[in-house]
Amino acid sequence: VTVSMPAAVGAAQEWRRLDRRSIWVAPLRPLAGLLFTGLVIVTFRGWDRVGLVEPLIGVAVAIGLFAVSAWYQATTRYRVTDTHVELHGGLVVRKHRSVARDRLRSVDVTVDVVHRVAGIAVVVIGTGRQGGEADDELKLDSVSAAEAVRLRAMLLARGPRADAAVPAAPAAPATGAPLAAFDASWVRLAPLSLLGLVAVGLVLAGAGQLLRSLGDDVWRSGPVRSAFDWVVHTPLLVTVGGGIVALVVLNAVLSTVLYVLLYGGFVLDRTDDATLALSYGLLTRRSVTIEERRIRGVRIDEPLLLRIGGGAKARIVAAGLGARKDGQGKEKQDSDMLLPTAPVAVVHRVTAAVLRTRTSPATAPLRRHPAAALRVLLVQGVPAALVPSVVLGVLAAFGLVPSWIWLLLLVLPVLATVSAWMEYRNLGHARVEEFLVSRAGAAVRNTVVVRCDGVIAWRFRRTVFQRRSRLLSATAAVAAGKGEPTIRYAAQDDVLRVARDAVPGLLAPFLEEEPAVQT
Amino acid sequence: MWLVLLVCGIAVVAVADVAVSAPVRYRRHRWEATDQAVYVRDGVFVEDWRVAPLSRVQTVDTHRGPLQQWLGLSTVTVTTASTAGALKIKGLDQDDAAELVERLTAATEATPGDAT
Repeated sequence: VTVSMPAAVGAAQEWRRLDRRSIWVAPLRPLAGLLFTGLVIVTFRGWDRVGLVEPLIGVAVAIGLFAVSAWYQATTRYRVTDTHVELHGGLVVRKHRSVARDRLRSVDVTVDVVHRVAGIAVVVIGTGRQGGEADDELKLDSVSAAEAVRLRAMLLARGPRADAAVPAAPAAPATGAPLAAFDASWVRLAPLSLLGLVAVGLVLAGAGQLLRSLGDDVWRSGPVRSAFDWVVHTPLLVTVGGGIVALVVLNAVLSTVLYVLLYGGFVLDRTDDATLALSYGLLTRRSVTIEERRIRGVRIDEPLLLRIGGGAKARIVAAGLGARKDGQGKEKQDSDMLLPTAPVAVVHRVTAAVLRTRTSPATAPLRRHPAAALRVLLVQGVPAALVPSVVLGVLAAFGLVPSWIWLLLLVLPVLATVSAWMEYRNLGHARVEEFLVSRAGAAVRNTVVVRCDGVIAWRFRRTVFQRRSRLLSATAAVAAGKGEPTIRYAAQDDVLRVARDAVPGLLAPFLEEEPAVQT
Repeated sequence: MWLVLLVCGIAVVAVADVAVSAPVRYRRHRWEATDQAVYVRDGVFVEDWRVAPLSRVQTVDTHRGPLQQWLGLSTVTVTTASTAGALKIKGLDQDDAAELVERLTAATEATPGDAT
């Protein structure tokens, strides 16, 4: 694609470049990682083994990174016209992408610590295309903070297209208080989440990889030996018990710290009656702007521990949002978050506000599913959980393994039974005014509320065994990547009636020939 | 010796599979397209019904593998904006498929917007 550079077309039409400061900022993260890895390796191997070559390689890599970054900045251009957003550039292969502005779903601005110091921001423009993971968004890495604000205000502004006239200042704040704002009392729920354990897991995985690349030098080093000695010389019960207590404490502390860092300063607001604006994070500040017209519903997740503590999380069901891989394929970005862990009452209040209903549809009483559903869940879960016990039991009978293992593994079927029962207790669905509500999940109870006119297709499933017990699972397909509501193992007549009424005129012609519905 | 037995066993199973499962699957697979919606039924042990209104259809694809070309058959795939909502009509007669595609495309074009 050849690109002409029209000089005098008007302010809104002209090609812009990424901010110059991003040349210096972009390579910092990979460089820091490199430096850290280098330091760890040197500490374990000893300084005397470092020659002249390694630092030289490091310097060469650094220069290379900066050169690539500068080249990227020099070749990338973007512009916003009346109808399209265009992005042009690329390191080796020149790409030119243009997206119609009425396809834009969300604008996501991320500012981490380094970017904030430099005064720049990463802008990701979501287009709501399904499939094609990376290509469905335009990423500007990075533009100046003021430009990010201008883009956000401009891109989601509807109605008369007076784009050039949009001021650089943020849109006028809506009257009244925000829909939700971070409250110190929310932190009380943080220790109940497993955020800390996930972080520990990630760190351990990273450390494990590092250790493998270091070889066995580590195992002979002092601290590792003394730790090993301590484990060997203390009774098993003490180490296991101590380990569990340590993990619980560590998780509680880390979860709280991470929660405050990630979600501190959370504000959810409705800017100009057509867009939702979220922003959160103490270190890395993220601002997500979502066009409200694209919102199909809300999904509320309640992990078991949080549910006991009276907390929940909420996500938005909308096209163009959802967890996705970052450019490097490392970080997961959850641009569909509506509320972080918060008290249930707050979650329901926000749900009602976002869906513009008086009370949250998720609080409505749901129709329970027949007892046959419990049987299905038990048949699905318990036999598989019995397999390890049976196998090891047989092996123990031949004296190949100690017999306490298979006895210990008998915990699994018990857990599976409890899990099936919990899932059965959670199953339910309802039609609340113009919303379809479905609930499922064992340990993590999730309730999905979608607007019926957002349902674009129905999908029904059942196995031959469920035919006799008249069960049916129904998925209401909505134009959203994740979070499509599935009514699992419901009574066939119930679910077909709900599906028929939810989308008028769609199912009715086909239900007559379905012999099972002759009620 | 073992190998021969194994191959014979696999062959017997395969023939039985083709003889039994193909007609059953053929009988289970049903489709219908009205002026408002497309409906597809599939699956033997796990039954699967899909219904999509024509106003929400985004693309209509026809696929013909070499075997299908020889037999004069086509597979028509109807996709919506959802990831869970693709409908597949397998083994249609080529003329019927062409006609269906034409009808669906006309209906899709008649709907404004991006069908989400």
